[in-house]
Amino acid sequence: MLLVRLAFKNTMAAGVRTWLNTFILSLTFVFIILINGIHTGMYLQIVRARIADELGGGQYWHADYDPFDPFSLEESHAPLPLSLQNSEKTVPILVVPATIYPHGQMQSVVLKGISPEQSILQLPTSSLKRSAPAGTIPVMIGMRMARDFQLSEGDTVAARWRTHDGAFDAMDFAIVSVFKSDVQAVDQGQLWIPLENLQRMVQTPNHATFIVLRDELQILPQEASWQFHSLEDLLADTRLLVESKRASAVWLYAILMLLAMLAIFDTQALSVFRRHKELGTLMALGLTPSKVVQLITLEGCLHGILAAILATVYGGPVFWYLGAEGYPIPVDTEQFGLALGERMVPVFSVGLFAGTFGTVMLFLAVISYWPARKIAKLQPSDALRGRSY
Amino acid sequence: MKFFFLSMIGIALHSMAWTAPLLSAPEILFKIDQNLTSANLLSVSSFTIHGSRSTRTIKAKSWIQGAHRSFTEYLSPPREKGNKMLKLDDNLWIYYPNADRVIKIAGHMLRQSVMGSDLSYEDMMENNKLHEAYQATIQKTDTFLDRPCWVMSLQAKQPDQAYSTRKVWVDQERFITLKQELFAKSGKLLKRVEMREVFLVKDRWYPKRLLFKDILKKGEGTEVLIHTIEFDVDIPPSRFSKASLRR
Repeated sequence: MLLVRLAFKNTMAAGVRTWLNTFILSLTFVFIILINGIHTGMYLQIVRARIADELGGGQYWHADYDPFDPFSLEESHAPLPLSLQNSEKTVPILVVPATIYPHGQMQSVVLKGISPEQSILQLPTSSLKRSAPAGTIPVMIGMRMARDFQLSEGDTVAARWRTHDGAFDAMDFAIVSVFKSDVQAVDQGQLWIPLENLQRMVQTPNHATFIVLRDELQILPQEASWQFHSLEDLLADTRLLVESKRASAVWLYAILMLLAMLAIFDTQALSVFRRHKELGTLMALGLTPSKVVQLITLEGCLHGILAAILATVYGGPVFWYLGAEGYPIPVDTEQFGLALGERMVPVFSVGLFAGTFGTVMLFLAVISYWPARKIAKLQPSDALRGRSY
Repeated sequence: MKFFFLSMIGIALHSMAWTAPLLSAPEILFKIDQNLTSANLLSVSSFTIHGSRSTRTIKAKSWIQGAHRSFTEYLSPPREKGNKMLKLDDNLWIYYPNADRVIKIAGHMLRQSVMGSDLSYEDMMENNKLHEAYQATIQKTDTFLDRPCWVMSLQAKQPDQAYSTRKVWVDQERFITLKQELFAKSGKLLKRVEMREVFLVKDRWYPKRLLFKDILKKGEGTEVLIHTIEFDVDIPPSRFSKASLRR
């Protein structure tokens, strides 16, 4: 306890030097916690949105289906297996490539057939039950699609596609609703249409391209024509994306930590060099060399504790506000393909605070101990005479 | 009086020729195919694309063998010059010399328009002869480009035909389609092809200038002009190989 009191007094006695180091270190704390909180929040936000609007509890894909390969779409559908025809637990979706002509411009799109009655995905598919003008098929589109092709609710757009046999067919689509989703994968370049209509249009009754499950439950054994994809598989790309963002931020943490640690190291080295007589006196009074080393190390670590308190004072309200309200995201963020919505809400956990504090303290302890370890060789008589080690 | 009767017989025979052709509908289709297809064909043509904002012309030289093999090299404008396109049965490849890359056109890319024109790659892939693919009936007679025509309705024999219904205006003497309307399975009109000028090459009547219009698309359509055409020329088999794209 004596050592702690002594270390605290010495640290406070250093005045502006201590507070300058503490402030720099507190900035490091705040920055690391903030960036990590943003990354965690980003990941959870994307995952929540994708599960709600796109992934459900896992999916079965037709063996030839590859969402990143438009060439695979024409052939990657098959009749639904009996075990997956449970409307409570599954949502079959049929994907068909097509061409639409918004305002006379030719555009490649995909038509996605989905049951208007489904309740697994949070897409407002019940709007597909709205009546459409005679001779048209009701469709719904996302806001991005509506913006890109300058379409709005009530518009009709001509569409052309090929039947399963390869013959061209065409009809007018009536846009019965424009929905909002944070997930671009259910929005851009696609039109949602009642499943039965689409199956009739391409003459593939009871066919689907992939099946969304309510729960992450592998109903069918893995078989050749339908492949099970767990949420972990389906979210792998999101995880990798956020991990890569975290990895790129490590450089910033490293630079900030280096600056802070350099300041602390410099302070400690200078302190050991200038306090020969003081340390010699303490040793002459009975303090063992190891206790003196502990004292100096403790003084360094006290910077960390003070920095954590300072960070809590000015960073705490910021973390609390951001954790509750989030902050608006510039619209341009959409271009990166992240399902983030309009506000980003960082997530700060106790583990994040503890982990950051622990890591910084560990570095501080090493950095403080490094210049202090020479004191162990100090002779009190030499120190009192002002001689070096 | 004798002259009057002869004239009446002449008019009666003439009107019979308009209403009931001597050839059956399949025979007319066969004659159209005979007229348009050739074992080998070499042509230089240009496409004038009338877009909603601008008009541009692309000139190309094509080597065509039957209905299944063709090789096209773009001659102008400078931006497109050197681009090459090879069609073998149902496969299509494009070579871009600037990138030195051969790209296979498949899937959704086949639906895209060829250089902004009203023709899609799928249209270019169409290679069935009319008499093989369609069941025809003559609906009526009409006049198009001041030429007497049969208006024929064509129904696809097989469900895999790209256009399940066509309406064609066939020149009664020259056996060339002067106008075509291509319909979707639902009956919606998709495309219209109209001859503007035809010319006689050896003993065949062939389109000289025609307008291709995607009805669903905005714009004035794509005009095709055949500058020169030679039938039954010698084309080395190596012309229709992927290797020839990079040459």
